[in-house]
Amino acid sequence: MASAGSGDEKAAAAAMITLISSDNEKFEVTEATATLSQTIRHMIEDGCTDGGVPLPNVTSKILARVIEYCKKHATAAAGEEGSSSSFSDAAFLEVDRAFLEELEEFDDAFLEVDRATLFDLILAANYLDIKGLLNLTCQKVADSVKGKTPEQIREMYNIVNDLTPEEEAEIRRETQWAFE
Amino acid sequence: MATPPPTPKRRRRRSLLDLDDDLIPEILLRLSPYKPECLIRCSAVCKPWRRLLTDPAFLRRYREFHGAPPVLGVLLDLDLEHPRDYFVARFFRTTSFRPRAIDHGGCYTRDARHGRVLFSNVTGDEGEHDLLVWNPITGERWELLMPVIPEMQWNVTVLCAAAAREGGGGCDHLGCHSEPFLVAFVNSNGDGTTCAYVYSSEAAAWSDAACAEHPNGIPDMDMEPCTLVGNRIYGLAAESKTIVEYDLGCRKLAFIDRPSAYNGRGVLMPAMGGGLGFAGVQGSCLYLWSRETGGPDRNVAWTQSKVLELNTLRGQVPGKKPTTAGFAEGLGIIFVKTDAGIFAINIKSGRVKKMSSRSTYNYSVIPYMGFYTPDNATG
Repeated sequence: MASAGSGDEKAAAAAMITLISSDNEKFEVTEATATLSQTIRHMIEDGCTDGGVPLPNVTSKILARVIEYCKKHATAAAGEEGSSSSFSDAAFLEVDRAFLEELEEFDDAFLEVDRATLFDLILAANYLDIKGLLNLTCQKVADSVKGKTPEQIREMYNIVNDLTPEEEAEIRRETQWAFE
Repeated sequence: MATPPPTPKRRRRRSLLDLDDDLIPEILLRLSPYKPECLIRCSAVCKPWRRLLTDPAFLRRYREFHGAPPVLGVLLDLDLEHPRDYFVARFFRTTSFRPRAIDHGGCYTRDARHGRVLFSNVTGDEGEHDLLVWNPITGERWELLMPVIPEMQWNVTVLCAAAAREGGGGCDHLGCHSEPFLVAFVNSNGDGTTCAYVYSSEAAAWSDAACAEHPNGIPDMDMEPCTLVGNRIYGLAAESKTIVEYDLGCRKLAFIDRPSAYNGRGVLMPAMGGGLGFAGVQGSCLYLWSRETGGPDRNVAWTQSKVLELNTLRGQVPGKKPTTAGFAEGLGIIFVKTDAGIFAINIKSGRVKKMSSRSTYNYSVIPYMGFYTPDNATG
């Protein structure tokens, strides 16, 4: 792991990307971190990252969080590539498992945010096309409705009920078990 | 007056509906199929969610996203003490989903696949039919008569009609519970022949018999669930000594020996890596074998793919006399019965989950798998 990390740093020194948030804050990141975003990957491929990448839809507060996520997961991706190509012994897999557990813990802690931030992270993940982050944040919202009634879900996410009483009654009549 | 800035107010109470239209499906896609009540409750939140959660294209994507359907319940045949000598096939819930009917009196559960359950009616309590196909999600039922009056033991299985075609007929079987179905009936005759008949719900009729003779005598069918691999059905016969194969495409019967290293009763299943699988318990070990199917060589060998020591699994399989009692297709779960109850074993992880502590069930454990989605709750 240590050798993979230092190699990464060497390669990264040659390719740093500047990301510019909507409030004009600049973030220097390695290409490996930045290319977790398909949107940025395409910009790099098209050679339009000189002078920085402006991200007018992402605030500095959210971009900092997104970069934190990408840094952690870029290291994980590098680790996975190493394991599949050259290592298969049980000892290495054991290390790998520990690393994956650490990554899970990171994700759990990463999601400890208020709802507004969670929404902003979803929007940023979608705009930047970061599959892992979009999956993680959408799953968090999906999990949050477990055990909640329709009223509680509306309250939680500020959704106006536009169903007619007849429509609601029909759902409850057909699937009483879902409301017990 | 200039337009007042609406931003501060909205920032305090942002609505989930403020997200782009294409993000709501991303969220609802991730509702667990093991929590059908969550899907239903979300469909009762607002019109846009209701539209999405009942939209056939979205639901197709939902099923593909989750892959194997969840086990919504397990069917077990019970002998009830009150009233005396009365037995029922009962749907035991494993999720919140509750079908309109829980018990089918006088019935034995024979099979469940592609969203349907197949019972045989023994007492004739529910009319003159011998077989009953039931869709627990929609509540639909079809009553059938057997194609012949069986002389000896027989076996029967239900499947999506597309499965009979080569390559599964382009159906992924994740949402075909309301499509046409087939019932395959295989029986052993006193003259040593085995015959297969196929009922089509589209034709509402049984096919002619396809018959074959076992080289070493009569393979009396075991009345246990069959399995489907590709477009072939496999059923056990002669107390697991022989496996009867019926090819739905070319309508031919063939016979296969069980793994030679094993001499007890077992269950059949699609093998994890493709082909046919066979599982059986000997001593305190669960043995798994697999074998290629469909090739020209009928004598292709079984390979032992896994051995699980029941006493060292993550979770306990207590009790005496463990035997295999069933499997959940696509989930890699085998049910094992002991005198202490019924246990589900995940073959991959080795995890054990206790399903029931009643040990009086005499018959197979048949899981009912399917996606319960809100489109089924629209009257």
